[in-house]
Amino acid sequence: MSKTKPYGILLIAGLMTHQENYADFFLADPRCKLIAVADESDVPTRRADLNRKFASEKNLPYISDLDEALELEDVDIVSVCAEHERRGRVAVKCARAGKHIYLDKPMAYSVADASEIVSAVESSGVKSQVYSMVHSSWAQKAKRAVESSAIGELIAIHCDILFAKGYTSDSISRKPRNQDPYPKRFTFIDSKRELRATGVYSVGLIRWITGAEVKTVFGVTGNYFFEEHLHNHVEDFGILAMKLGSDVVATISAGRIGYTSHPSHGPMRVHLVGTKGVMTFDAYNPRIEVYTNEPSWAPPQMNPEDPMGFWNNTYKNSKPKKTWIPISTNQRYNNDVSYFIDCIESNLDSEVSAKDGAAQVEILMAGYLSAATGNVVSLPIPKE
Amino acid sequence: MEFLYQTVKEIIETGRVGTPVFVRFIVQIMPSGEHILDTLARFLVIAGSWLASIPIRVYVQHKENSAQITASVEYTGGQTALVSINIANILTSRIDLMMIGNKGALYQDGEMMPPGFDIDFEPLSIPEWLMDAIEQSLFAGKPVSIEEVVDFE
Repeated sequence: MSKTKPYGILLIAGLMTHQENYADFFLADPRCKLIAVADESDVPTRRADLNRKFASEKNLPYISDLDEALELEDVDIVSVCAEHERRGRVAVKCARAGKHIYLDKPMAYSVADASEIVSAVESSGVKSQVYSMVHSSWAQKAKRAVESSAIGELIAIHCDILFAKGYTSDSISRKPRNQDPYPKRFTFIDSKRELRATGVYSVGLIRWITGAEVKTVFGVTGNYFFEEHLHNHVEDFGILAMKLGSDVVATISAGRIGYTSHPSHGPMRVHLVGTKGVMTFDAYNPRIEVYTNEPSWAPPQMNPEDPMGFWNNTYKNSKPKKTWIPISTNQRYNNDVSYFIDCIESNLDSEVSAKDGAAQVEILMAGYLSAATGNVVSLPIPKE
Repeated sequence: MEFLYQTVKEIIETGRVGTPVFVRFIVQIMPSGEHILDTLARFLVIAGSWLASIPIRVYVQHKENSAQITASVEYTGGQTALVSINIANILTSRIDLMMIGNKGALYQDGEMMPPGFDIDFEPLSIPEWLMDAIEQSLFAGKPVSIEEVVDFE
């Protein structure tokens, strides 16, 4: 189904969310047209102000009543970046209104919320997609290596995606973290639960590359780097060790490790272990390394509104690291959103649909439960 | 292996990367006759030496009929390690290392080790309790607390 009119895009939540990026993805696809920024009528004043400012920057109207916004006939797709705690409620409402939904990651606050989103998508017959890294060239190559049996039979898969951002502290005492088995709060100005926020990428890639479901999860969380995370009782680092449906072993490391810990954005790679040996796929390989007499890169001045560097807009004047320049290789999609539009036009389910997003959420929540108890957790886990 | 171990140790001692908090090893080696559990133990001892800590919990995973073993370890100071040993019929060994400290990180990106690279280097003795923990976790299919296997007397 190809539309004669562009797809109308409604943006839920604005500045200081990943909508800063996703709005630009939609703008970059000529099949899409941004219609408005909107949100629930009872959001806190700070959120409403950030939404209004974002709408103003994009020359869009701000609609402070989500129900009213969903009645707009020219809205076909909703990009949902509401905070984790209310993301499920908002996504369900959008899907039930017959809108396709593009979801920030992780797609829901809880296993129960994730399940409700999946039900709403299925009963409404709309398409859904959760933002992921599956279209990156290194991930695509890894999937091809598995599918072509280039490594023989897959035995294990190990994925590290860590973000080199934030100002680390020297004053954090070294002790095992006391993990809450059922974390309830995920939104803070100065920290995120990093096992969820960054681990979701690795968990998503492992499921997508192997095509296998996770059976068991063992997790450990840590506070290694940031006083902000420690103060908010959230982890800045975590590992998961999983067993997949085919008895393949899978591990991930996830977290935020500080601006100075990597020559670029942070380690991003997947190792495939097969009967024929090990293959590694790295976001920065192949690359050019550049060394010049330019002044060394220095971390940007800390913005107290965003000390961890979560959002592009708060650091838009900062200089990027330029030592490692990845050599661009052909990607099937340069833009995650364009793939979603193709799915809608072809009436195909996305390879990272709400159902996949729900599986990601369950694995991550099982990781917290394991980290709290020290035990291996079998899936499925109860909808807490 | 001795040179890699020493080089990393010396960098840690300079304080440039701060306090080590996480070690990730992906090791691919040729069949040598050594049991894969002994190789795993040796790399866990090396990781523990860099982290300057001893394990409190060890979880070992192995896919049946494969020459692969993976350990997830939590240490007394809350540090963590993921160590994967893979035996394959290859020409040279390969070690991929990521060691993260609270002020920086070290990376050894899976370079092929030169011929003659001594994988059998044993910088420190392998404690019996570590071997016990590895075997117990593997046998039980679950994490093992070191307290359960160590006689602290």
